[in-house]
Amino acid sequence: MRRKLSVSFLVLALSAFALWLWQDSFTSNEGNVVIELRDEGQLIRSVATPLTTEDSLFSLLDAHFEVVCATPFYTPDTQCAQSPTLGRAILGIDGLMTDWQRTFFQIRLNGVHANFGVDTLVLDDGDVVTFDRIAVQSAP
Amino acid sequence: MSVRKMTTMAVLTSILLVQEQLLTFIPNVQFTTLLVLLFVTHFTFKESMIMLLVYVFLDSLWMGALNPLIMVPMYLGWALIPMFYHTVLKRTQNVHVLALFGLFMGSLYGFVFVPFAVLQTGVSAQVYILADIPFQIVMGLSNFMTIYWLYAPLKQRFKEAALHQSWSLELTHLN
Repeated sequence: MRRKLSVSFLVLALSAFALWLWQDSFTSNEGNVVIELRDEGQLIRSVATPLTTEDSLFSLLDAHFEVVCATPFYTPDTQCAQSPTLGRAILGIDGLMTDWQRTFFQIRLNGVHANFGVDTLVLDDGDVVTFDRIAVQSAP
Repeated sequence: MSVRKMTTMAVLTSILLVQEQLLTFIPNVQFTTLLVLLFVTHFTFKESMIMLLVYVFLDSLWMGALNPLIMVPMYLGWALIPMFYHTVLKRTQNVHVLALFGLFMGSLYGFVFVPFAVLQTGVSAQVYILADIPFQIVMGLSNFMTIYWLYAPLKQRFKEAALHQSWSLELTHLN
């Protein structure tokens, strides 16, 4: 039993270490970024904010906007408590809500559809991040 | 194939589906690998593949994902378990080997999806793999823990039920 517990603990620790390494590989650079909120392309609000290596897109978004995340069942969660390791999904920003089924926030980095989400997107000085609420079927 | 065996396969496939749905709120944490591993030790390769086919179809139907770009890699991914069990693993019953296989199965399963995801979403393979890494780690860990702790006791219960109901592949081997 003791051996079994030791092996389990070792595997658990190695997995946690691997997850930490993975998470740590997404570090943003210092500078300034602009975060835009759009609805079907129409600009709602734009915020320019300083960026440090400690910031993630989620931390910046959370600092400047009213953010509603999704629970694992895609219902609204104002606490945004879902594990950042596996990534949060955004359901609402400043009262602009999506239902995940018919509309969603498309994240664009400098005008191009971003390949990562709010927890892992790496930002550089001068980047413009756009959150555009669009209909699911209109996504490219 | 007897009606009793077919019924057993149907019930076990239902268990596979239900446990996965019950655990959907924790991404990639499931007992599926453990259960499939148990099933392949008691059913033939062909029977296991049929059970997996039904499971993948029902799972996709339930999740609204009747899409060949999701169903095909899912089937191929789960089919790796009977394939490896009957070839590379040589039907081993060593829990350490099986748990280690479960650990790597998390990555193997994830990698099967890469070409299909690239085809469907248009993202580069590198980006997809990088984003999939934490999910692979969580699935591998979940596989390892469930197999390491639960395989032996479940196997024993399974064996007892199989002897009682006379449907096991192992029973055929024993006879």
